[in-house]
Amino acid sequence: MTASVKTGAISIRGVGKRYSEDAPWAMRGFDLEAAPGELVAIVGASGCGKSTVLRMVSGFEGPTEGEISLDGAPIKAPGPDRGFVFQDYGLFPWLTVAENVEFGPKQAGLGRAARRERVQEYLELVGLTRVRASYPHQLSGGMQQRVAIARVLANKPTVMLMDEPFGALDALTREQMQADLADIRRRVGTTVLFVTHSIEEAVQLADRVVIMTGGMSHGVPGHIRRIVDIELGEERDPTSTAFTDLERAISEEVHAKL
Amino acid sequence: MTATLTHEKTAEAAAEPQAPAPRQMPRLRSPRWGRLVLAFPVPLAVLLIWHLGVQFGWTLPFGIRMAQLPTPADVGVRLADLFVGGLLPSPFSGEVYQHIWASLVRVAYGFGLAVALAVPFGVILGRSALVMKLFEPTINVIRPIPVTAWAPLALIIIGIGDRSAIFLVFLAAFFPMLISTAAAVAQVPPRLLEAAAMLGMPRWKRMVAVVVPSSIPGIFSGLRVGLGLAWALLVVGEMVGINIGLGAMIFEGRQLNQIDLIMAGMVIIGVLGFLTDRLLTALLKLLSRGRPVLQEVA
Repeated sequence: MTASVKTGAISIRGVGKRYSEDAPWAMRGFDLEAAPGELVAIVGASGCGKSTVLRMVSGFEGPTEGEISLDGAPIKAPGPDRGFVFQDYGLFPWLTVAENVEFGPKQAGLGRAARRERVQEYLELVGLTRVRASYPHQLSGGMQQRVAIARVLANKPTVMLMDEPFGALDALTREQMQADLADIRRRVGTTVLFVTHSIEEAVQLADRVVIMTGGMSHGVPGHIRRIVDIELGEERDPTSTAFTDLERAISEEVHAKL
Repeated sequence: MTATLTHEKTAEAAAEPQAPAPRQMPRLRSPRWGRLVLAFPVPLAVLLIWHLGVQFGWTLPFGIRMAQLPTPADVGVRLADLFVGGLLPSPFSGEVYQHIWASLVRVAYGFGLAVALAVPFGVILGRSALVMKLFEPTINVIRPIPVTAWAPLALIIIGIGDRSAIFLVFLAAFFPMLISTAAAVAQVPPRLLEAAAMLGMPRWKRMVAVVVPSSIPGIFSGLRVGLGLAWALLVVGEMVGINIGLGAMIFEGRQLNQIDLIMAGMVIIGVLGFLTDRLLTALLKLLSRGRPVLQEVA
C-alpha cells in the first residue's frame, strides 16, 4: 500500500456536455489537470455540472466535446482504475461487506487466497473487519460508505472519484469520515476528484478547490470560475483564521453573480 | 464492545459512538400459537355454514342450490376413501395417488418449461429497448387471450393427450412470468449497474450477476402467479381426452354426477396448489442461502 505517486494524472481539456443536439450546453470549456496523488475538490451550486465532470472522468458518460485522459490514455468506458464512490453508496445489498469489497478483485481474476488478503487489507484500512459478514442494510450510513471506499480501493485504482460521498451523513459522522479520508489518502496515494456542496469540506480536504458556476438554469453553461490552491498543510484547523478566510473567499466566488 | 475493538485501530468506534451491532431482521411472525388460534375460526365457520346450508336446502345468490351439495362430512368421507380406499364403491377408491402424481408431473413439466424460457427472455426483454420494441406489440396482442381459449385449439393442433395439457400449463405460466420478470429487471437501480461497471465487470456479466439478484423479488412474485395459473389450466387441460389426473377425476365426477368426488378433487388441487407454492418459497430460500434478496418475500 505504499504510495506510488507516478500514475493517476487526470487531464480534462476543453470538455463540454449537452444531452442532445438542440439542448443548451450543461457545461462547457472545462480545463483541469490533476497531478498524481492530488486531491482536487469541485464545489459549486446545484446544476453547475460538477457531478457531470466526475461522471465523464469515470466513463459513465462521454463528453460531447473535448478530451479526458488518464495518464495519457483517453477515457472511453468505466474501469477499475477509476473507482467511484457514490453519495448513496451503491453497495450490492445481496452481498456481505466482505463480498462487496471482493467484487472488483474477483473481476480482475485474483485467486481466492489473494482476494481474501486484499479484502482483509482494505477492511482494516477503513476499520470494518468486525462487520465483514454483515449485509449493507445492517450497517449505518457511515459504515456503508466506508465499505464503498474499501470496495473501490481494493482495486488499487489510480484515481478515486467521489460524488458528494458524505452528503447523506450526519454532521458528526461526516467530520470523522473527512478525517479518515485524509488519513486513508495519505496512506494510499490515489488521485482524488471530490465533488461537494460543502465549502468547509473542500477546504478541509483538498489540495486545490475548483469553483464552478453557471449551469443550465442560469442560461450560461457550467464552467470553472476559479481554482484556489489550499496551502494549509496536513493538520487543518477549521477555526483558524487562514482556514475561515479561505472558506469565505471561496463562498463569495460560489455565490457571486455571473 | 471495547474489548474486541482495542486491537484494531477502528475509526468506526469514534465515528459512530453507538456503532450498532448488526441489526436483527424484523420478526415477521407472531408467536406460533397465536397464528394457529387465529387460523381456525374462519374455516370452521365456513364448514358450519356449508353444512347448515345443505341441511336446510338454502338457495344462495347466483341460484346456488345448496341442497345439491354433499355435506362437508360427505366430502371428508370421499377424501378418506380416495386416499385409503374401502369406504365407497368407486373406481377411485384408494387410487388418488396416481392422479395426483400425473397432475404434478404435468404441472412440473409445463411450469418448468415456462420458467426456463420466460425468465431468461424476460431479462433480455427488460434490459434491451430494441428487443422490447420488437416483441412488445406481439406480446400485447397474444397476452390478453385467455389461456382457456387456447384449449380447443390445442386439442386440434396438438391432439388429445399429455402434450396438450402440458402446453396449456406452460402457456398459462409463461406470460405472467415473462411480464413480471421484464418489469422487475427494468427497475434494477442504475446505480448498481454503474457500480459493477466501475469495478470492472463486463456488460454481459452484469446481466447475470447484478440484474438477476437485484430483481429476485419481482421475478419470484411472477413465479408464484405463474404457478397458480399453471394449476388452473391443468384442470382445463385434463378435462378432455385424459384419464389419469385430478382434472380428469373431477370431470369424471361431473359425468357420474358424483358431486362429492368433484369437491374432493377441488380440495386436493387447492392443497397441492398451496403446498407447491410453499415449496417454491422454500426452494428460493434454500438457493439464496439467507441473503437479503428475500427481504421483500414473505
